[in-house]
Amino acid sequence: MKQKMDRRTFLAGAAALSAAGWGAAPQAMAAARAHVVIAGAGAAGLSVAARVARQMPNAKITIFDSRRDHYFQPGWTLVGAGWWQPGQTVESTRGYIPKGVTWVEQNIAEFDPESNTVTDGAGTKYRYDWLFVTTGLSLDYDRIEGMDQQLIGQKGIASVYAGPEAAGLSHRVITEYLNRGGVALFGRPATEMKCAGAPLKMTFITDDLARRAGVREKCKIVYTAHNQTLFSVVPVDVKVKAMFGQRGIATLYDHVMTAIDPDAKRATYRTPNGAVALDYDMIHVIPPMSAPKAVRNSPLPWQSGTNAADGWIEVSPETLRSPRYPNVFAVGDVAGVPRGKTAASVKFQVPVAVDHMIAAANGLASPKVYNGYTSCPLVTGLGKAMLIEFDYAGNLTPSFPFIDPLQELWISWFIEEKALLGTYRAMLRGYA
Amino acid sequence: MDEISVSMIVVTLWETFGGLSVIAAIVGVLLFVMLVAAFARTRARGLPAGRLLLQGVVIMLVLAAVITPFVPVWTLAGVGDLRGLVDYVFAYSIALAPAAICGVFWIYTRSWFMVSAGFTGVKQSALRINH
Repeated sequence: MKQKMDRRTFLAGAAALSAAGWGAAPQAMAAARAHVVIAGAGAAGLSVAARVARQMPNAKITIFDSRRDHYFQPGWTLVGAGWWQPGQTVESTRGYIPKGVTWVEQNIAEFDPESNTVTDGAGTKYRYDWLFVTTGLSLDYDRIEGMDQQLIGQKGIASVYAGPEAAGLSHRVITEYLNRGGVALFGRPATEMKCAGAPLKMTFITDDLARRAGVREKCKIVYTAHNQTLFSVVPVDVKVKAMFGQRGIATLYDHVMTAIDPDAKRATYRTPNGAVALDYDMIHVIPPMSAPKAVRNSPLPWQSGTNAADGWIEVSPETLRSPRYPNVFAVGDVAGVPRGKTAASVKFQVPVAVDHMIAAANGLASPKVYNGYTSCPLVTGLGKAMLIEFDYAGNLTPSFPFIDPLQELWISWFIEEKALLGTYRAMLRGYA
Repeated sequence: MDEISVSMIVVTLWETFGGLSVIAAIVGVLLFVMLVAAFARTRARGLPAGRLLLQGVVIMLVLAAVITPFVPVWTLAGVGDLRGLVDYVFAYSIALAPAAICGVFWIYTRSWFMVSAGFTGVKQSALRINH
């Protein structure tokens, strides 16, 4: 409690610095007494709440989320590696709710953008003037026949995506595998997914752990790619393919996992040549992902195109604003934009979306544009990573010109291991 | 990144290092005060402050080079786990922080020793002539 008080006092000082002009260009402000509803208190939701509270001081802001813990998800691969403890990625959501913002500990069960209302899990209806949909996404383990989230940590099944405990259990599974050896399968779903670099990270990390343990020769590591690429950005794809070759990591292309038999330790894949079954000793399962049910069942998702099937919300890729419901924005994983499902994307999406809302509240248009920036510190082993940043067009967009995005470097690892969490927390508070 | 500001940097440092960032700031101020006190002391006696500063800087640079290979340990990596030139430069810049503390301590204690030992600018000059 004392720490919270200290933190609040400190942050109040930082805010005063901003107010005193020790800041960047002044942010757009709106004096409107609007009701702003934020559906979801994850990275995007909290960051939106902090910015709206600052830029629209007279607004009534209500944020909805039933989860009391806030997860630093970029840390879960490090937990899976055994380099971090699960607890290092868990914080209290309460500590990041800005002063004056009302937190309703319910998820939104129904979106009705025609009447500008949302209904929470308890059945209470709320009218809004502006809506930010920041629900995150749904991990659909049940779309893999025979798979259940409860299986993580058992029968050679790992999956760092399901939460801090699952990431910790995944480390146990990897350790057991290294003791026994055999075949380890990695891969990714064919759907849009959050942090598309994580499947590669877990593959590299397992290879690195096996080498450090001196057991690499008894481990056959196989990566099953959902199409012909390992990464959607061409230079990175070429580089990772070369690195897999150098490290003896076998690759199977056009393999999409459809079923698993945990007792037989056999996974089935859809391939252009029909179903293929692969036996394994350890498997890292990444489930198909989709928008949460309440979003999918609403009028908000794309009605056609590649984003429609899994219910991602239809928004302008440049402004994150719904073209059909102009008082609705979607930010973070649930937004139906290409390549935008990382915490780094959120960092760049939130200022744009909030600025457009503020401008619209003032009867103006904002010139701010989100270019699809996203980032993936691709950990390739203990103490080394490649800091890959890119935009919608697949162009590499390094923030630091002196850091080669295609070179394994300790400085990139430093950013992942030491700098990312602080930057992330600052983002939750509406900075960065 | 169009919103980089002092407040953003302060909040990020605080969220990264917590209370350590405040301690580091206090240590920084203390070192600055020690540096000023050391030079005020030497100048008052007419002692060669420039040479003292040079000694402190050399100590800092050499110590930073010695510490550099150990910096990766701070990030769970192994000793000397540096790969590119940028890694060495960055690790060296981090190593400068503890090395600077040693450099300032050298300057401060040396100035105190010189003054308490009764050195004066005249004596020093005389010593140099004798050599």
